[in-house]
Amino acid sequence: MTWVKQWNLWLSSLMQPPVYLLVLRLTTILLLLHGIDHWRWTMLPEKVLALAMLVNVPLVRNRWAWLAMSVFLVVNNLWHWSALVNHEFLYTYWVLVCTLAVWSRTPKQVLRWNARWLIGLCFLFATLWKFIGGEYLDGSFLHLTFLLDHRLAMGAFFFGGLDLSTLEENRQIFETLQTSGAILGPQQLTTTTRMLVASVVLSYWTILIEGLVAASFLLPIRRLYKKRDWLLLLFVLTTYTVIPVLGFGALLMVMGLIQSKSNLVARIYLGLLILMPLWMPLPQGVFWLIQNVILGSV
Amino acid sequence: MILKKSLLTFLKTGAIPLLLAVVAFRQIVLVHIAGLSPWHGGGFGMFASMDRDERRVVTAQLACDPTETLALPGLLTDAPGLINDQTYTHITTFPTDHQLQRLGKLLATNSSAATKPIAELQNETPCDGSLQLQAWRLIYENGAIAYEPITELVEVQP
Repeated sequence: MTWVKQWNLWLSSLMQPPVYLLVLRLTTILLLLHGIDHWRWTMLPEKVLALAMLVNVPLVRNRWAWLAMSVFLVVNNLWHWSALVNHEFLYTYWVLVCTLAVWSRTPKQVLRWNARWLIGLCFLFATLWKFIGGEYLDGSFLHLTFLLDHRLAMGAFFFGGLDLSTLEENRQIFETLQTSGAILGPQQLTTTTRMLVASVVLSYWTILIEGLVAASFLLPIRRLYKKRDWLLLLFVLTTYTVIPVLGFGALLMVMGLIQSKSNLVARIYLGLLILMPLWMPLPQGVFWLIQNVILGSV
Repeated sequence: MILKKSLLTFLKTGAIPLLLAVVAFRQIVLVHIAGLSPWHGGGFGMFASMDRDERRVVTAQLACDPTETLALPGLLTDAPGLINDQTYTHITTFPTDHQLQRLGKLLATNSSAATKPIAELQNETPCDGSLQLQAWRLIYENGAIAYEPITELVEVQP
Protein backbone atom coordinates (compact mmCIF):
# COMPACT_ATOMS: atom_id res chain seq x y z
CA MET A 1 0.00 0.00 0.00
CA THR A 2 3.04 2.25 0.28
CA TRP A 3 3.00 3.10 -3.42
CA VAL A 4 -0.70 4.10 -3.21
CA LYS A 5 0.14 6.43 -0.32
CA GLN A 6 3.11 7.85 -2.20
CA TRP A 7 0.98 8.30 -5.30
CA ASN A 8 -1.67 10.18 -3.26
CA LEU A 9 0.99 12.30 -1.58
CA TRP A 10 2.47 13.18 -4.95
CA LEU A 11 -0.95 14.13 -6.37
CA SER A 12 -1.61 16.26 -3.25
CA SER A 13 1.72 18.01 -3.66
CA LEU A 14 0.86 18.78 -7.29
CA MET A 15 -2.46 20.21 -6.17
CA GLN A 16 -0.98 22.69 -3.72
CA PRO A 17 -2.87 25.99 -4.02
CA PRO A 18 -3.28 27.91 -6.18
CA VAL A 19 -4.82 25.04 -8.18
CA TYR A 20 -5.55 27.33 -11.11
CA LEU A 21 -1.79 27.50 -11.81
CA LEU A 22 -1.67 23.72 -12.08
CA VAL A 23 -4.59 23.88 -14.53
CA LEU A 24 -2.80 26.52 -16.62
CA ARG A 25 0.36 24.38 -16.69
CA LEU A 26 -1.57 21.25 -17.65
CA THR A 27 -3.33 23.22 -20.39
CA THR A 28 0.04 24.37 -21.70
CA ILE A 29 1.29 20.76 -21.84
CA LEU A 30 -1.84 19.70 -23.74
CA LEU A 31 -1.42 22.62 -26.14
CA LEU A 32 2.13 21.52 -26.86
CA LEU A 33 1.16 17.91 -27.50
CA HIS A 34 -2.27 18.02 -29.10
CA GLY A 35 -2.55 17.76 -32.87
CA ILE A 36 1.05 16.71 -33.48
CA ASP A 37 -0.26 13.62 -35.29
CA HIS A 38 -1.82 15.84 -37.97
CA TRP A 39 0.68 18.65 -38.14
CA ARG A 40 -0.05 21.91 -39.91
CA TRP A 41 2.51 24.70 -40.19
CA THR A 42 -0.04 27.19 -38.85
CA MET A 43 0.29 25.35 -35.51
CA LEU A 44 3.93 26.36 -35.15
CA PRO A 45 3.40 29.67 -33.24
CA GLU A 46 1.17 28.01 -30.60
CA LYS A 47 3.62 25.11 -30.13
CA VAL A 48 6.60 27.47 -29.75
CA LEU A 49 4.70 29.62 -27.26
CA ALA A 50 3.50 26.58 -25.29
CA LEU A 51 7.06 25.31 -25.09
CA ALA A 52 8.28 28.72 -23.93
CA MET A 53 5.55 28.79 -21.24
CA LEU A 54 6.67 25.38 -19.99
CA VAL A 55 10.37 26.20 -19.94
CA ASN A 56 9.98 29.72 -18.55
CA VAL A 57 7.63 29.06 -15.60
CA PRO A 58 6.56 32.69 -14.83
CA LEU A 59 5.29 32.96 -18.40
CA VAL A 60 2.44 30.57 -17.57
CA ARG A 61 0.68 33.31 -15.60
CA ASN A 62 1.60 36.06 -18.04
CA ARG A 63 -1.51 37.77 -19.40
CA TRP A 64 0.05 38.72 -22.74
CA ALA A 65 1.31 35.18 -23.34
CA TRP A 66 -2.23 33.83 -22.94
CA LEU A 67 -3.63 36.59 -25.13
CA ALA A 68 -1.12 35.69 -27.83
CA MET A 69 -2.01 32.00 -27.45
CA SER A 70 -5.69 32.88 -27.90
CA VAL A 71 -4.94 34.81 -31.07
CA PHE A 72 -2.89 31.91 -32.49
CA LEU A 73 -5.63 29.38 -31.80
CA VAL A 74 -8.48 31.56 -33.05
CA VAL A 75 -6.59 32.30 -36.30
CA ASN A 76 -5.86 28.60 -36.72
CA ASN A 77 -9.52 27.75 -36.11
CA LEU A 78 -10.76 30.35 -38.59
CA TRP A 79 -8.26 29.18 -41.19
CA HIS A 80 -8.98 25.45 -40.92
CA TRP A 81 -12.50 25.51 -39.48
CA SER A 82 -13.94 22.90 -41.82
CA ALA A 83 -11.12 20.43 -41.19
CA LEU A 84 -11.04 20.64 -37.40
CA VAL A 85 -12.79 18.11 -35.17
CA ASN A 86 -14.73 18.73 -31.95
CA HIS A 87 -11.97 18.85 -29.39
CA GLU A 88 -9.85 21.21 -31.45
CA PHE A 89 -12.64 23.78 -31.12
CA LEU A 90 -12.90 22.95 -27.41
CA TYR A 91 -9.17 23.65 -26.97
CA THR A 92 -9.67 27.12 -28.43
CA TYR A 93 -12.64 27.85 -26.14
CA TRP A 94 -10.64 26.63 -23.15
CA VAL A 95 -7.62 28.80 -24.04
CA LEU A 96 -9.97 31.80 -24.31
CA VAL A 97 -11.24 30.91 -20.82
CA CYS A 98 -7.66 30.66 -19.49
CA THR A 99 -6.94 34.09 -20.99
CA LEU A 100 -10.00 35.62 -19.32
CA ALA A 101 -8.97 33.92 -16.07
CA VAL A 102 -5.43 35.32 -15.99
CA TRP A 103 -6.78 38.79 -16.79
CA SER A 104 -9.33 38.55 -13.96
CA ARG A 105 -8.94 38.97 -10.21
CA THR A 106 -10.66 35.63 -9.59
CA PRO A 107 -8.94 33.19 -11.96
CA LYS A 108 -10.08 30.01 -10.21
CA GLN A 109 -13.74 31.05 -10.26
CA VAL A 110 -13.58 31.99 -13.95
CA LEU A 111 -11.99 28.64 -14.84
CA ARG A 112 -14.40 26.68 -12.65
CA TRP A 113 -17.57 28.35 -13.94
CA ASN A 114 -16.62 28.10 -17.62
CA ALA A 115 -15.30 24.54 -17.32
CA ARG A 116 -18.68 23.42 -16.02
CA TRP A 117 -20.57 25.17 -18.82
CA LEU A 118 -18.23 24.06 -21.60
CA ILE A 119 -18.42 20.42 -20.50
CA GLY A 120 -22.21 20.62 -20.19
CA LEU A 121 -22.69 22.30 -23.55
CA CYS A 122 -20.38 20.04 -25.51
CA PHE A 123 -22.21 16.99 -24.14
CA LEU A 124 -25.56 18.67 -24.84
CA PHE A 125 -24.68 19.20 -28.51
CA ALA A 126 -23.15 15.71 -28.76
CA THR A 127 -26.45 14.27 -27.44
CA LEU A 128 -28.49 16.52 -29.71
CA TRP A 129 -26.54 15.24 -32.73
CA LYS A 130 -27.37 11.66 -31.79
CA PHE A 131 -31.04 12.57 -32.31
CA ILE A 132 -30.61 14.90 -35.31
CA GLY A 133 -28.58 12.37 -37.29
CA GLY A 134 -31.03 9.55 -36.58
CA GLU A 135 -28.28 6.99 -37.09
CA TYR A 136 -28.04 6.34 -33.34
CA LEU A 137 -31.69 5.55 -32.79
CA ASP A 138 -31.55 2.47 -35.06
CA GLY A 139 -27.92 1.66 -34.16
CA SER A 140 -26.79 1.97 -37.80
CA PHE A 141 -23.95 4.42 -37.10
CA LEU A 142 -22.22 2.22 -34.54
CA HIS A 143 -22.98 -0.91 -36.56
CA LEU A 144 -21.23 0.44 -39.66
CA THR A 145 -18.41 1.92 -37.56
CA PHE A 146 -17.74 -1.47 -35.97
CA LEU A 147 -17.67 -3.04 -39.43
CA LEU A 148 -15.38 -0.49 -41.10
CA ASP A 149 -13.31 1.43 -38.53
CA HIS A 150 -10.10 -0.41 -37.59
CA ARG A 151 -10.04 1.43 -34.24
CA LEU A 152 -13.20 -0.44 -33.26
CA ALA A 153 -11.98 -3.87 -34.36
CA MET A 154 -11.67 -4.89 -30.71
CA GLY A 155 -15.33 -4.02 -30.11
CA ALA A 156 -16.43 -5.85 -33.27
CA PHE A 157 -14.47 -8.92 -32.13
CA PHE A 158 -15.76 -9.04 -28.54
CA PHE A 159 -19.26 -7.60 -28.87
CA GLY A 160 -20.11 -8.86 -32.36
CA GLY A 161 -18.10 -12.07 -32.63
CA LEU A 162 -16.57 -10.94 -35.94
CA ASP A 163 -13.07 -12.09 -36.81
CA LEU A 164 -10.40 -9.77 -38.15
CA SER A 165 -10.36 -11.26 -41.66
CA THR A 166 -14.10 -10.57 -42.05
CA LEU A 167 -13.53 -6.98 -40.94
CA GLU A 168 -10.69 -6.67 -43.45
CA GLU A 169 -12.98 -7.97 -46.22
CA ASN A 170 -15.60 -5.38 -45.24
CA ARG A 171 -13.01 -2.63 -45.47
CA GLN A 172 -11.96 -3.87 -48.91
CA ILE A 173 -15.59 -3.77 -50.09
CA PHE A 174 -15.87 -0.19 -48.87
CA GLU A 175 -12.60 0.87 -50.53
CA THR A 176 -13.71 -0.63 -53.84
CA LEU A 177 -17.05 1.15 -53.58
CA GLN A 178 -15.36 4.45 -52.71
CA THR A 179 -12.88 4.33 -55.58
CA SER A 180 -15.67 3.49 -58.00
CA GLY A 181 -17.86 6.22 -56.53
CA ALA A 182 -21.52 5.95 -57.28
CA ILE A 183 -20.96 3.63 -60.20
CA LEU A 184 -21.40 0.42 -58.24
CA GLY A 185 -24.74 -0.32 -56.62
CA PRO A 186 -25.26 -1.22 -52.93
CA GLN A 187 -22.64 -3.60 -51.56
CA GLN A 188 -23.51 -6.08 -48.81
CA LEU A 189 -21.23 -6.19 -45.75
CA THR A 190 -20.71 -9.25 -43.58
CA THR A 191 -22.04 -8.93 -40.04
CA THR A 192 -23.73 -10.92 -37.27
CA THR A 193 -27.01 -10.58 -35.36
CA ARG A 194 -24.90 -10.17 -32.21
CA MET A 195 -23.16 -7.16 -33.78
CA LEU A 196 -26.51 -5.63 -34.72
CA VAL A 197 -27.92 -6.07 -31.20
CA ALA A 198 -24.71 -4.86 -29.54
CA SER A 199 -24.70 -1.76 -31.79
CA VAL A 200 -28.26 -0.84 -30.76
CA VAL A 201 -27.53 -1.43 -27.04
CA LEU A 202 -24.29 0.58 -27.14
CA SER A 203 -25.98 3.39 -29.10
CA TYR A 204 -28.63 3.81 -26.40
CA TRP A 205 -25.98 3.56 -23.68
CA THR A 206 -24.05 6.39 -25.37
CA ILE A 207 -27.16 8.56 -25.65
CA LEU A 208 -27.98 7.87 -22.00
CA ILE A 209 -24.53 8.58 -20.55
CA GLU A 210 -23.88 11.67 -22.72
CA GLY A 211 -27.36 13.01 -21.94
CA LEU A 212 -26.85 12.44 -18.22
CA VAL A 213 -23.46 14.21 -18.27
CA ALA A 214 -25.06 17.19 -20.08
CA ALA A 215 -28.01 17.32 -17.69
CA SER A 216 -25.86 16.96 -14.56
CA PHE A 217 -23.56 19.82 -15.58
CA LEU A 218 -26.26 22.18 -16.88
CA LEU A 219 -29.50 21.63 -14.97
CA PRO A 220 -30.13 22.97 -11.48
CA ILE A 221 -31.17 19.56 -10.16
CA ARG A 222 -29.24 19.13 -6.92
CA ARG A 223 -29.16 15.31 -6.83
CA LEU A 224 -28.01 15.08 -10.43
CA TYR A 225 -25.53 17.96 -10.09
CA LYS A 226 -23.83 16.21 -7.17
CA LYS A 227 -23.26 13.13 -9.33
CA ARG A 228 -21.81 15.06 -12.30
CA ASP A 229 -18.16 14.13 -11.70
CA TRP A 230 -18.89 10.42 -11.40
CA LEU A 231 -21.00 10.52 -14.56
CA LEU A 232 -18.21 12.27 -16.48
CA LEU A 233 -15.63 9.80 -15.18
CA LEU A 234 -17.91 6.90 -16.13
CA PHE A 235 -18.25 8.33 -19.65
CA VAL A 236 -14.49 8.80 -20.02
CA LEU A 237 -13.63 5.31 -18.77
CA THR A 238 -16.31 3.46 -20.76
CA THR A 239 -15.82 5.41 -23.99
CA TYR A 240 -12.11 6.05 -24.33
CA THR A 241 -11.05 2.52 -23.45
CA VAL A 242 -13.01 1.41 -26.54
CA ILE A 243 -12.23 4.42 -28.77
CA PRO A 244 -9.05 6.13 -27.51
CA VAL A 245 -9.28 9.88 -28.20
CA LEU A 246 -6.41 11.17 -26.07
CA GLY A 247 -6.76 14.89 -26.84
CA PHE A 248 -10.45 15.07 -25.92
CA GLY A 249 -10.14 12.84 -22.86
CA ALA A 250 -7.19 14.84 -21.49
CA LEU A 251 -8.96 18.18 -21.88
CA LEU A 252 -12.09 16.81 -20.18
CA MET A 253 -9.91 15.72 -17.24
CA VAL A 254 -8.33 19.19 -16.93
CA MET A 255 -11.71 20.93 -17.06
CA GLY A 256 -13.19 18.33 -14.71
CA LEU A 257 -10.38 18.89 -12.23
CA ILE A 258 -10.88 22.65 -11.86
CA GLN A 259 -14.69 22.58 -11.67
CA SER A 260 -14.82 19.83 -9.03
CA LYS A 261 -15.47 20.97 -5.50
CA SER A 262 -14.22 17.73 -3.94
CA ASN A 263 -10.50 17.35 -3.34
CA LEU A 264 -10.76 13.57 -3.71
CA VAL A 265 -12.53 13.80 -7.07
CA ALA A 266 -10.05 16.43 -8.29
CA ARG A 267 -7.24 14.00 -7.40
CA ILE A 268 -8.98 11.25 -9.40
CA TYR A 269 -9.22 13.56 -12.42
CA LEU A 270 -5.53 14.42 -12.09
CA GLY A 271 -4.50 10.79 -11.57
CA LEU A 272 -6.48 9.63 -14.60
CA LEU A 273 -4.99 12.44 -16.68
CA ILE A 274 -1.41 11.55 -15.72
CA LEU A 275 -2.00 7.83 -16.31
CA MET A 276 -3.97 8.39 -19.52
CA PRO A 277 -1.13 7.32 -21.87
CA LEU A 278 -1.17 3.99 -19.99
CA TRP A 279 -4.82 3.13 -19.36
CA MET A 280 -6.34 4.53 -22.53
CA PRO A 281 -4.50 2.37 -25.07
CA LEU A 282 -4.25 -0.63 -22.69
CA PRO A 283 -7.34 -2.59 -23.86
CA GLN A 284 -6.36 -2.04 -27.53
CA GLY A 285 -2.80 -3.13 -26.71
CA VAL A 286 -3.98 -6.30 -24.96
CA PHE A 287 -6.28 -7.04 -27.90
CA TRP A 288 -3.40 -6.57 -30.33
CA LEU A 289 -1.24 -8.94 -28.28
CA ILE A 290 -4.00 -11.57 -28.14
CA GLN A 291 -4.56 -11.35 -31.90
CA ASN A 292 -0.98 -11.14 -33.07
CA VAL A 293 1.12 -12.96 -30.48
CA ILE A 294 -1.13 -15.48 -28.72
CA LEU A 295 -3.44 -16.36 -31.63
CA GLY A 296 -0.68 -15.60 -34.14
CA SER A 297 -2.86 -14.03 -36.82
CA VAL A 298 0.14 -12.32 -38.44
CA MET B 1 -19.65 51.97 -14.66
CA ILE B 2 -22.60 49.55 -14.38
CA LEU B 3 -22.31 48.82 -18.10
CA LYS B 4 -18.58 48.11 -17.77
CA LYS B 5 -19.21 45.81 -14.81
CA SER B 6 -21.96 43.95 -16.67
CA LEU B 7 -19.74 43.55 -19.72
CA LEU B 8 -16.91 42.17 -17.59
CA THR B 9 -19.27 39.75 -15.85
CA PHE B 10 -20.61 38.62 -19.23
CA LEU B 11 -17.06 38.11 -20.55
CA LYS B 12 -16.06 36.06 -17.53
CA THR B 13 -19.18 33.91 -17.27
CA GLY B 14 -21.19 33.83 -20.49
CA ALA B 15 -19.12 34.83 -23.52
CA ILE B 16 -17.26 31.58 -24.18
CA PRO B 17 -20.21 29.21 -23.55
CA LEU B 18 -22.26 31.48 -25.83
CA LEU B 19 -19.54 31.32 -28.49
CA LEU B 20 -19.57 27.51 -28.28
CA ALA B 21 -23.36 27.44 -28.66
CA VAL B 22 -23.37 29.88 -31.63
CA VAL B 23 -20.65 27.92 -33.49
CA ALA B 24 -22.48 24.65 -32.80
CA PHE B 25 -25.82 26.03 -34.06
CA ARG B 26 -24.07 27.40 -37.16
CA GLN B 27 -22.60 23.94 -37.79
CA ILE B 28 -26.03 22.26 -37.50
CA VAL B 29 -27.48 24.76 -40.00
CA LEU B 30 -24.56 24.34 -42.44
CA VAL B 31 -24.87 20.54 -42.29
CA HIS B 32 -28.52 20.76 -43.23
CA ILE B 33 -28.44 23.50 -45.85
CA ALA B 34 -24.94 23.38 -47.35
CA GLY B 35 -23.80 19.76 -47.09
CA LEU B 36 -21.11 20.26 -44.40
CA SER B 37 -19.95 16.95 -42.90
CA PRO B 38 -21.40 16.48 -39.37
CA TRP B 39 -17.91 15.48 -38.17
CA HIS B 40 -16.53 18.98 -38.68
CA GLY B 41 -17.33 22.61 -38.00
CA GLY B 42 -17.50 22.62 -34.20
CA GLY B 43 -21.00 21.22 -33.66
CA PHE B 44 -19.94 18.13 -31.69
CA GLY B 45 -21.36 15.81 -34.35
CA MET B 46 -18.34 13.47 -34.37
CA PHE B 47 -19.24 9.84 -33.79
CA ALA B 48 -22.88 10.69 -34.48
CA SER B 49 -23.01 10.21 -38.23
CA MET B 50 -21.40 7.85 -40.74
CA ASP B 51 -21.17 10.81 -43.14
CA ARG B 52 -17.57 11.79 -42.45
CA ASP B 53 -15.44 13.59 -45.00
CA GLU B 54 -13.02 10.67 -45.52
CA ARG B 55 -15.90 8.50 -46.70
CA ARG B 56 -17.34 11.03 -49.11
CA VAL B 57 -16.78 10.91 -52.85
CA VAL B 58 -16.75 13.49 -55.63
CA THR B 59 -17.43 12.19 -59.14
CA ALA B 60 -16.72 13.84 -62.51
CA GLN B 61 -18.55 13.33 -65.81
CA LEU B 62 -19.12 15.06 -69.11
CA ALA B 63 -22.52 16.63 -69.63
CA CYS B 64 -22.91 15.01 -73.06
CA ASP B 65 -22.27 11.46 -71.80
CA PRO B 66 -23.25 10.83 -68.18
CA THR B 67 -22.60 7.09 -68.52
CA GLU B 68 -18.82 7.58 -68.14
CA THR B 69 -18.01 8.67 -64.58
CA LEU B 70 -14.67 9.25 -62.83
CA ALA B 71 -14.50 8.78 -59.06
CA LEU B 72 -12.00 11.24 -57.66
CA PRO B 73 -10.66 9.07 -54.78
CA GLY B 74 -9.53 6.47 -57.33
CA LEU B 75 -8.15 9.18 -59.59
CA LEU B 76 -6.18 10.77 -56.74
CA THR B 77 -4.72 7.41 -55.77
CA ASP B 78 -3.48 6.96 -59.35
CA ALA B 79 -2.24 10.55 -59.63
CA PRO B 80 -1.32 11.74 -56.11
CA GLY B 81 0.03 15.15 -57.18
CA LEU B 82 -3.08 16.13 -59.11
CA ILE B 83 -4.82 17.97 -56.27
CA ASN B 84 -3.50 18.89 -52.85
CA ASP B 85 -4.89 16.47 -50.20
CA GLN B 86 -5.98 19.33 -47.93
CA THR B 87 -7.86 21.00 -50.77
CA TYR B 88 -9.70 17.79 -51.65
CA THR B 89 -10.53 17.13 -47.97
CA HIS B 90 -11.89 20.66 -47.56
CA ILE B 91 -14.03 20.33 -50.69
CA THR B 92 -15.48 16.95 -49.69
CA THR B 93 -16.15 18.25 -46.16
CA PHE B 94 -17.96 21.33 -47.42
CA PRO B 95 -18.98 20.70 -51.06
CA THR B 96 -20.66 23.96 -51.98
CA ASP B 97 -21.18 24.93 -55.63
CA HIS B 98 -18.27 27.34 -55.36
CA GLN B 99 -15.94 24.66 -53.96
CA LEU B 100 -16.95 22.13 -56.64
CA GLN B 101 -16.35 24.79 -59.32
CA ARG B 102 -12.91 25.34 -57.81
CA LEU B 103 -12.19 21.61 -57.85
CA GLY B 104 -13.34 21.34 -61.46
CA LYS B 105 -11.06 24.17 -62.52
CA LEU B 106 -8.12 22.58 -60.68
CA LEU B 107 -8.83 19.28 -62.42
CA ALA B 108 -9.09 20.90 -65.83
CA THR B 109 -5.91 22.94 -65.31
CA ASN B 110 -3.73 20.30 -63.73
CA SER B 111 -4.88 17.37 -65.80
CA SER B 112 -3.28 18.58 -69.03
CA ALA B 113 0.13 18.71 -67.32
CA ALA B 114 -0.08 15.51 -65.31
CA THR B 115 -2.20 12.47 -66.02
CA LYS B 116 -4.81 14.12 -68.23
CA PRO B 117 -7.75 12.42 -66.51
CA ILE B 118 -10.32 14.79 -67.95
CA ALA B 119 -8.71 14.51 -71.38
CA GLU B 120 -8.94 10.73 -71.06
CA LEU B 121 -12.59 11.05 -70.13
CA GLN B 122 -13.08 13.18 -73.25
CA ASN B 123 -11.23 10.64 -75.41
CA GLU B 124 -13.40 7.82 -74.14
CA THR B 125 -16.42 9.97 -74.78
CA PRO B 126 -15.90 11.87 -78.00
CA CYS B 127 -18.31 14.71 -77.36
CA ASP B 128 -17.84 18.36 -76.61
CA GLY B 129 -19.62 18.73 -73.30
CA SER B 130 -18.77 20.62 -70.17
CA LEU B 131 -17.40 18.96 -67.05
CA GLN B 132 -19.87 18.20 -64.24
CA LEU B 133 -19.03 17.35 -60.64
CA GLN B 134 -21.17 15.86 -57.87
CA ALA B 135 -20.54 15.07 -54.18
CA TRP B 136 -21.83 11.86 -52.56
CA ARG B 137 -22.10 10.49 -49.03
CA LEU B 138 -22.01 6.96 -47.69
CA ILE B 139 -25.20 5.36 -46.38
CA TYR B 140 -25.80 2.01 -44.68
CA GLU B 141 -29.20 0.37 -45.09
CA ASN B 142 -30.32 -3.25 -44.70
CA GLY B 143 -26.76 -4.46 -44.22
CA ALA B 144 -25.47 -2.82 -47.42
CA ILE B 145 -23.39 0.29 -48.08
CA ALA B 146 -24.13 2.62 -50.98
CA TYR B 147 -23.61 6.22 -52.04
CA GLU B 148 -26.31 8.89 -52.29
CA PRO B 149 -25.83 12.39 -53.72
CA ILE B 150 -25.32 15.36 -51.39
CA THR B 151 -25.31 17.95 -54.16
CA GLU B 152 -26.86 18.40 -57.58
CA LEU B 153 -24.55 18.02 -60.60
CA VAL B 154 -22.46 21.19 -60.74
CA GLU B 155 -21.39 22.31 -64.20
CA VAL B 156 -17.84 23.67 -64.21
CA GLN B 157 -17.74 27.07 -65.89
CA PRO B 158 -14.78 27.49 -68.26
